[in-house]
Amino acid sequence: MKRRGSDKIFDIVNITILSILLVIMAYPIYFVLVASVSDPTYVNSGAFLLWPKGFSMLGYRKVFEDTRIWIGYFNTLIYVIGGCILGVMITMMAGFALSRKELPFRGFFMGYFVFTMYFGGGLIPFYMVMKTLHLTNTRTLMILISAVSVYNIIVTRSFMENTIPEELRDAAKVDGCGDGYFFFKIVMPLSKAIMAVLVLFLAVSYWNSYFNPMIFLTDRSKYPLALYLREILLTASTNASTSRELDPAAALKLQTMAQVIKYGVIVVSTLPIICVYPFLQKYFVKGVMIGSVKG
Amino acid sequence: MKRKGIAALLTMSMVLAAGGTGGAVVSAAEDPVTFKVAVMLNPLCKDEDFNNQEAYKKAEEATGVHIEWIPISSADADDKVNIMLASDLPDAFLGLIGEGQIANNMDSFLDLNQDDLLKTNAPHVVSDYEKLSNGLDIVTWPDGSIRSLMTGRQTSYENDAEGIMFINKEWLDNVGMDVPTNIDEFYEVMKAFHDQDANGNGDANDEIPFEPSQSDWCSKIMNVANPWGIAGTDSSDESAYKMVKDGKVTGTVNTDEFRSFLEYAHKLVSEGLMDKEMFSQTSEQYHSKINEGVVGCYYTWSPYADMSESEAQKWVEVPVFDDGEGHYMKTGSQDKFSASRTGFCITSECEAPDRLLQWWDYLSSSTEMKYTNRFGPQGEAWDINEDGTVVELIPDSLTDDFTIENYKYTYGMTGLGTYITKEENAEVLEENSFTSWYRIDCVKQLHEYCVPVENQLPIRFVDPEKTSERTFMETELFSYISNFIATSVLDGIDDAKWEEHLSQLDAVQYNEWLNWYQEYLDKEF
Repeated sequence: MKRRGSDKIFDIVNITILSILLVIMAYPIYFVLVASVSDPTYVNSGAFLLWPKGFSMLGYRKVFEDTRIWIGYFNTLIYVIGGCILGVMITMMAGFALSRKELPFRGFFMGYFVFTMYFGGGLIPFYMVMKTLHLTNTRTLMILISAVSVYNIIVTRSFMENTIPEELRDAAKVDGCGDGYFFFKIVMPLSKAIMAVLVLFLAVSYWNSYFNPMIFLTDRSKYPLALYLREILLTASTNASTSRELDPAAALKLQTMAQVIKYGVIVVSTLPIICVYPFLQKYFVKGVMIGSVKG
Repeated sequence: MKRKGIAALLTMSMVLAAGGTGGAVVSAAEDPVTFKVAVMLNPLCKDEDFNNQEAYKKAEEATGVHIEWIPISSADADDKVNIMLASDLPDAFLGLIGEGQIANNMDSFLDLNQDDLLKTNAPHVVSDYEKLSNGLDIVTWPDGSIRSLMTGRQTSYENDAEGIMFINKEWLDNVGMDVPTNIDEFYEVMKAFHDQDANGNGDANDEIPFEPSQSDWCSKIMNVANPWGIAGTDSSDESAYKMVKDGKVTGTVNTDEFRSFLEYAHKLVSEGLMDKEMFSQTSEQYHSKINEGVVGCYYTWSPYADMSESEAQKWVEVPVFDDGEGHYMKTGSQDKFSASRTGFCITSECEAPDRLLQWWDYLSSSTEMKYTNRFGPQGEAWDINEDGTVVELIPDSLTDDFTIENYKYTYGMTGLGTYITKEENAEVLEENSFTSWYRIDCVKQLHEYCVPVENQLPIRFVDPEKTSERTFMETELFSYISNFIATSVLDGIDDAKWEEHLSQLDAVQYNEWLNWYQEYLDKEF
């Protein structure tokens, strides 16, 4: 097909704008990567733009010389895998139930869930409840704590309303299919797209979570990666003025490395998630879009 | 009452046995008991099980007290401690609690003064505190209660002088001048640094003669006011906004000396002799300038803390440096009290505070025990001379990745060890630790110019309401003054601006603020 002049102009403008956007978004990531392998002195003065200056793996060496990082990786994997399985199951079930019109008190349950998006008891009451339930300082809590997000339930519900018609259920029923069988054998396979989205949402939130573990865990062998990395980072930026007893010379040495360690930590903590992303991406776009348009 | 009497008796006998031999093994006096103690975990510590430390092993053996430690890293301390205070109190906190937290949660902390709990169970601690000029008052709240015990050293000589001015000797030689001794000579030297190629790299324009920095803990602008007799008791700018003279709290930022200092600083900035980025740069930018070899003069702890040994050797201390009329004062305080008064706090959850106090008292029972608690086993990082003085040593087990600082925080508690009096301070020898020794040597040159003890405010706890009254005033006052200093230094000052400044000071309650300290000094609250 012959392309018209206006098409070409559109293409050129389009490509230019998108290229600029690409650079704006990709450069910071690239900069972090470059800074993490540069010499601390240059990183502090910001003396490079495109290529690493004074190649040095100091940041990574400092991060990995801390053996606790492997404990952290192990714990994070447990929390991510456990949290994803549990979270996807619960969210799918809740989303499916809420998407069915015949569910008794459907409006009430929806309102009940949504209420928690706007109002909460606050941190200290929450802590006290967890303590009374004997869940503080347990791995179980770390898996339970952010498994359910009302936002995810709403996305799932909208998806199901659009893709699983009531008639499907009627047809299945005629063939003698019960609710459980219908959910596991028909609904789940038809909802792969939304499940991929949930896995990604949950995995990222579990992977990055540091606040809840920090508050609820006292046993350091249960700390996730994010918490150890945060510690390494803050260790490095310990300021001479805040610790009266620390020899400022030692504090300063740490401080010079702080920037490099910071970039090293960013790479170490985000690389695994970035690696998983491309595999889920095709579902991701589809899943979220479907959920967002209500028929 | 009977039980307490027995406890006291046992403590005394235990103490007598331990005192003579310096922490010798004493059999457990009572049944074993376990306490939960939340402790600050220093980032430099490489062993998170504190029970591996010699001092705690000995203390457990001697007192039967086992501690279940809850290490909390300094990064998480604020959030976690507040949660603990609200809902999950341990038996005690070590190094995590500040004055404000006690003030706001009085009842969460046990009053050690009631029933003479402290005096009965911790005689060594009490006798150490009583050596201070204000005795036990130092840890007593206005309501007469004692909610915490002290950790760390009473004084630390090397900290007294805060940031010290150093000048590059190589640059001085290049421009053929001597170390300046007053502000006029200083100006001439800076001018020469600026106009000539002082660092000898062929470029006469890349020199920054004088580099203070607001982002650095000890290089702040008020240090520059020292030659005019204006000096704070610590390195913060705010501490230099008032001074005590002959029992009177006087203002500094409304004086002619202060104005002269601003005019002088503006002259330096306008001629390019002082870095005008000093108010805006980050700590990282500041340190990279220092390391690039373009700075001729700056404030620091010691050049050895900032750069390589060969570079650091090029710097010399600028000793006394006045406005020509002998006004010189140095930022810092002589014999500054440097212990933490809220280091060890027993909470109201603790069921056997007497036992926990005995354990703490055991750790305070002798100089040997205190230093074992502070730096680890005797003969490694410290030892005692025949004349009884303590000396710091360098242990053999150090590597590049396990420095002396790691050692001190791994085998001992350093600042969280039991209270060490001024007389017990350790000596640092040149051959053992050159950089620490060098710092002390530099402080010696200036120590007599630091704020003397009689001109320092006494240290005591005040009614939390009074404190919040002061901090309320400080928000606006401090931001006004620091803004005024920055604009005056950068843009200059004239009579009209000065008059406006004086009237603005009234508006932001400067006099009320000074008056608060006057009343504090006069013990009116």
